[in-house]
Amino acid sequence: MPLSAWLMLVFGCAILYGGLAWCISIAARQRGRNVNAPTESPSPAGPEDR
Amino acid sequence: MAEAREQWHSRAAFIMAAVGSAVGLGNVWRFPYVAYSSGGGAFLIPYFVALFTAGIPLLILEMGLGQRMQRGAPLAFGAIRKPLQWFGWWVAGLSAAIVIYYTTILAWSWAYLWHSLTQAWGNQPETFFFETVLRSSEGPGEIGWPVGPLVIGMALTWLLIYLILRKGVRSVSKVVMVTVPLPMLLLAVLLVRGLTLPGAIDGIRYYLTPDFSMLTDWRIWLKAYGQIFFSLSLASGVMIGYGSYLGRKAEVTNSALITGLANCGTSFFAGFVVFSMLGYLAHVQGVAVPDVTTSGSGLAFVTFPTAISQLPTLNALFGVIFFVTLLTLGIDSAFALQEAFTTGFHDKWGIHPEKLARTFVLIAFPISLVFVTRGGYFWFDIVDKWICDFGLVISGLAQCLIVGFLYRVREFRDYLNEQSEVRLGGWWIWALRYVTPGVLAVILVANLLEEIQVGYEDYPRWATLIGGWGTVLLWGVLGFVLWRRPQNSDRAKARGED
Repeated sequence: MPLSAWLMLVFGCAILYGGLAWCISIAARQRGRNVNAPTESPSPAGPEDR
Repeated sequence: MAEAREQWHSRAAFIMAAVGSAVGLGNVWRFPYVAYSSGGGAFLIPYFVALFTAGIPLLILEMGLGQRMQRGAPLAFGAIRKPLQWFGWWVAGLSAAIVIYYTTILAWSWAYLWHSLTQAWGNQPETFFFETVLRSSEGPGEIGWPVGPLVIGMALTWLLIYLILRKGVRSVSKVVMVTVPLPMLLLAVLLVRGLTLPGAIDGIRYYLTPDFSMLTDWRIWLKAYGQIFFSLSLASGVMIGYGSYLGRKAEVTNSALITGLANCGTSFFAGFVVFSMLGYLAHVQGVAVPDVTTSGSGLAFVTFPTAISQLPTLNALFGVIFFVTLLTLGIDSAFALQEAFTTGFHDKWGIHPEKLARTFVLIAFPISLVFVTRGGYFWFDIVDKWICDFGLVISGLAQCLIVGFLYRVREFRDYLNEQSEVRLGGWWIWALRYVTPGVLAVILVANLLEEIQVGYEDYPRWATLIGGWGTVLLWGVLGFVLWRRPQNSDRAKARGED
């Protein structure tokens, strides 16, 4: 395989899997947060309801 | 008192469900071919630009809108401006239309799962696909009766969708923990098999060798945006529906990033599976890799079966693995699409998820049988073309403009940032207001011009008018009816209740 193909392989893996690992690591650090806190009551449609 | 809205079991369940919805058959059968034919490894550059300037911004928009409004697409858009509920129903209607024809591919996959035990396609897989499995007629005007084995496949698919959705998001939370990792694992098994075959490296070389000169062609950039847009389950209301089951304090931005990167990572990975097999097939047949390269149903139901038959050993096992992979990839997307539609009924009229799942399946199953008739392949092709090239593009364009200009988008960004692990800057608003709508407008105009000037394939105009424009416009009419029907609370008010 030519060097340019290897470089694109590294480039693709770095962005996709490196990026994914980075995002997952951020999420893992925040694990203690109540990220799915239950809604107290069924909400109205939101503050923009006009 | 109204029943509290259901929520995901955990953040992992939400991300798994979103990834499962985004990762579908297109990741395996479309991305590798698009990449190969659009500059090989060089295609990754426009692909990543499209991912970060259009895919992820729109993903954040949809998940965030659902989470903030705590409603699916119809009522979420209705909350921005009341008449936009009509648009929301149309968007949800597109997802209903997609799931009805999408199940056809799963019906074919069931049939092939059975045939892969004996590699019944022999050495004429194309004839086998069109004449034995589809029993295809000459054109869309010759519909005929539904094909028996495909009806069984279709029934199995709808039964599975009903069983998964009958307990709403609670059962989805559990199912995705199996149906999302399983196809990844099976793809890894296929990759190991592919890479150990002679000729595999030649296939990979074709997939990755960059041709940077193609980056000067603006159509390659449009292709990249199109690929990102269609592969992330955007514009059909799925991510709005899934986001609506998040809690009010739930994080959205990083979850959207994880979903987008996982989806594209799967596409990139699937390219190695596909091209290692294609390299082997070219090696066995003594031809060049481009001669065996294809995409879409041709890749899954003609080229791959050929490669499976040529494997030195365990052909049936790898055939089963491949078609189980397709089924598990497809089923997540199918039930996500149905959920995107039915959640609007739950929100507006408080109908129980089990009743919604049952009613939808009972109505959709008979309609979907049109696509497994002898002329069904042609109708499938037409409806798919119009929904993707016109319906979803218009929907995505309108969503960006609505949120970008009719909603307080800066306040929305600040709201997302309050609970986010990754802060959104001004680039997000810029992408939503200008980049994504601009690209989608160009795609839409190009598609319209092509349709007017050359038509689609050799289909008669009446067929594309009925199956194509008819499907897209029908949901505009049905959306209007659903919007005008009073909400439960409106009825109570009309009766003078508090």
